[in-house]
Amino acid sequence: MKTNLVRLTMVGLAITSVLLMVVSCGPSPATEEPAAEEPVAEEPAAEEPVAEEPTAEECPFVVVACDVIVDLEPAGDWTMGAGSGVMVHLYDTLMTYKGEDTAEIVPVLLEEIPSVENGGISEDGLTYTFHLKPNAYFHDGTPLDAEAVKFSIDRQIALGLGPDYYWWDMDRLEVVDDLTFKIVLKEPSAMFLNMIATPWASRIINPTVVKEHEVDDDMAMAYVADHDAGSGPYILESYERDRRQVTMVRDPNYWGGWSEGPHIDKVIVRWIDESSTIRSMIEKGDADIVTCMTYEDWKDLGETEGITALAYPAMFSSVIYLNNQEPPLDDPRVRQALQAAMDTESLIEDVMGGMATPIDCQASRVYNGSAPAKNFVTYDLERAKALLEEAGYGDGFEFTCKDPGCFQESTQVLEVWQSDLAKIGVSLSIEQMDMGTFFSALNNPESPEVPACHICNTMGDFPDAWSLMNYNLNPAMVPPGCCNASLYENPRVTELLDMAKVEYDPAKRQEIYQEIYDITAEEVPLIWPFGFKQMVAMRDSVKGFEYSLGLGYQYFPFETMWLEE
Amino acid sequence: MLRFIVRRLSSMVFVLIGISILTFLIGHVGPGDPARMALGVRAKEEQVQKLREKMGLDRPLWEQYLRYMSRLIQGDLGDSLMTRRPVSKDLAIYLPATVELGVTSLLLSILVGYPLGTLAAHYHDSLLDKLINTLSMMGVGVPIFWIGIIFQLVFYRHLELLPAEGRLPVAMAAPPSVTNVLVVDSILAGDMAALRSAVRHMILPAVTLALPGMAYLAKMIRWKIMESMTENYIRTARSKGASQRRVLLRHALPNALLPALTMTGMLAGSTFGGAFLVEIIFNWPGIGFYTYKAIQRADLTPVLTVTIIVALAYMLANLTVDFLYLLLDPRIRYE
Repeated sequence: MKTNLVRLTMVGLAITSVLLMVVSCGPSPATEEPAAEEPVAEEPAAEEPVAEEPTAEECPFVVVACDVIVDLEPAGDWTMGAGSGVMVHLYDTLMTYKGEDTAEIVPVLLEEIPSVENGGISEDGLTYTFHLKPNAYFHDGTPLDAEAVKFSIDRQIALGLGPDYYWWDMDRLEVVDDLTFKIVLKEPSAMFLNMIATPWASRIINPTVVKEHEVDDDMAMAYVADHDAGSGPYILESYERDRRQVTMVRDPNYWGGWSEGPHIDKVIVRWIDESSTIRSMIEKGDADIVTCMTYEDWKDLGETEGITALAYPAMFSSVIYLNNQEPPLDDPRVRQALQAAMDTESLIEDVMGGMATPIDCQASRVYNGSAPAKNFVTYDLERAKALLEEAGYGDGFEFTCKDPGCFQESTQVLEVWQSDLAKIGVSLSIEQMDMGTFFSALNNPESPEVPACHICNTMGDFPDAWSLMNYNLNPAMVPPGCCNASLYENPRVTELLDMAKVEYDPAKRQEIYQEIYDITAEEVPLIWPFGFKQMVAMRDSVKGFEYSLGLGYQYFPFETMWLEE
Repeated sequence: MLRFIVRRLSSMVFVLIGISILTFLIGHVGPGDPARMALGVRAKEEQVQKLREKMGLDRPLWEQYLRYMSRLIQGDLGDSLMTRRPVSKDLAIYLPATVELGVTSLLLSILVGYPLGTLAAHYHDSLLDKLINTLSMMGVGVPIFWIGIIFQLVFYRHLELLPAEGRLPVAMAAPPSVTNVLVVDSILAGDMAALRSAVRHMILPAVTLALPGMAYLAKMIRWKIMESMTENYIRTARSKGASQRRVLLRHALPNALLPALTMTGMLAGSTFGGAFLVEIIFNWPGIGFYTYKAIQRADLTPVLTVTIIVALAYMLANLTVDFLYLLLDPRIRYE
């Protein structure tokens, strides 16, 4: 028995080695030639073969994303992650954002965007009338009408998975006829259309599919998580969680039609966490377009033959929150001094390799309404020292800045800042911590732990400066629950934010924003090191790519893209 | 023997309960708000509170624990906030992938580690012995993630011999899922192309995961054989005219197997519990990666369930080792 065991293991080792050699030396899928077709006339039809490795003609368009797609529940995703980038092709929305550097709202299912001028918005700003395009339908042929819109929005609110937030200003939705519905708000809001134009707010789901597959009052959540129920230009072919990929096929009968020319017929979105793997895949041609790479990888890929590396301004910005209620940071002069000690140019060039943009107000330029603030404090160590003297901290002080690792370069940013702060006598300690730990403490419902300082990234819900400013400057948005982690409160700024929210005239709204920028330039509630750029790398064979600022970094317009031979 | 089995199974239950309490407490005492992580940092407090109530996260700890355990006993593993699905559905997808990888790597560790250790002992102090020893030290000392990345660069990027990630090529249709162990499903479907692809995709992650085990086993076998060779029974065997090969294989190796078997049992448990780094590098959708994401999101239910499963794997592996002792050593009898 014991001898047999030994003999068996020796034999096993030999067999294993031989097997590994045989399998390894087989052709790799990427280089295998397509099997020659058998002449139909000479042989009888054989049994349908099991799936062979794909031919070149069948090679789909492969996107590698880095987020984990939770599921494809249209009412459940409100990030700019890979899930959103997939669902935007499966589900049509009422309207969307378009534009590379700034974002304009354009209709998708709607005939036009309602406005005061076209009568779509009532004079009191409370009632919005929407007209749907007459020819829209779901993938199963069911007409997409006003009832379907109401159903989708009601469902989204009932499920309460996050995106229902965009409808909190709504009092009710009334169906007028098949193609018309009205939304009545609780109070006027010039931001309402911005809110519902976000990719997450108004994905319209097929009521027929939901009713057919509802189990135990789950509103078909279990079914829709893995199956198609939309009207978009692409149809979900499969969501293989065990392979971490989603496959979509073009709907040739899409109600919105297709332009002349080549299109991408099949898309596979695969999510992979490891950046070295992502890089290898695009270098080898196993992926056509990738995001979520390090700056070094992006730079190297840009210098690789056959690959183009692009960068676009993104809605994300880095931000340093300063607790405006904790001495000495409660003194605006101290906060100005801290800002004057931040060399943002150096951060952009040396830390971010140029992959960032400067910010000189409360929102980067990608946000509609962003404009330079008067008296914005720029890098000036002498001025910083003078401000500290004036504030009574000529000898400097110590404080700690927490770094929950919101973005890759956060520690480096703080280290550069730390070095400059030391020159003006301010000692900065950097405390790195786990993100989950930090945000749980910050949002503790009983006693939020707001630190003196922390660095993170931030983004508005939509590409209008109001969105970002409301999150960061409104005292109603302090933790727990949201975003004003500086605990900033200025009654005039709050009043201005409220005024902007109901100001429909863009020029007047811009004046309001400018006053906010100028006040906050003096008060420095928070510091903006830079805005991020989004990096994308794609094979040269990929054509027709257009970046959309409002739809985020994992969105690719497959409808307008194609692969060149 | 029956008493032994009953006693071991009973102790396993107590150990599992202890582990579940410990994991539950650590998960709740530790930081992280699963409801907020599920909804995102921008979620309003009202939304988060509503989810907390829906998931029972606002109940006292003891009530949450008892609720979880009573559901577990009935076969309900709870729901994941992260995936918004029953944990049982998630495990049905991810656990077979880990089992497939784990079993393959364990077999590799055994089939390579044991013979290498035996060879090293037979040719001790030779160049082969030194080479095996050096490779063993590398297998133990070099981080597994580094090995994985190097393998990808060499075998995928430069030599183009093997795929870098996943279980099948991107565009290949998977065989019908019966067990979700791709190799098995491919055989059941008669899909040889999928079988070949599945095996090719498994090579790099399995070898990466198997390397430390191979190294440990080779070193252990070599050491125990060398130790056995100084025993009296070896001298007796030699004096009776046994050849060196017979002495090694018939006398020394069997006695070295017992401690090596213990180590193999531990490896079996740790392979399933420690595969997550390999799963991340090779994009292998197993429970390691699933659990890693659950920990990041403070989603306790999957973490608790997987911890219990891994603990069970360890205990079953050790129980199997104990039974194998009976086969290998006639002196051992369990009361």
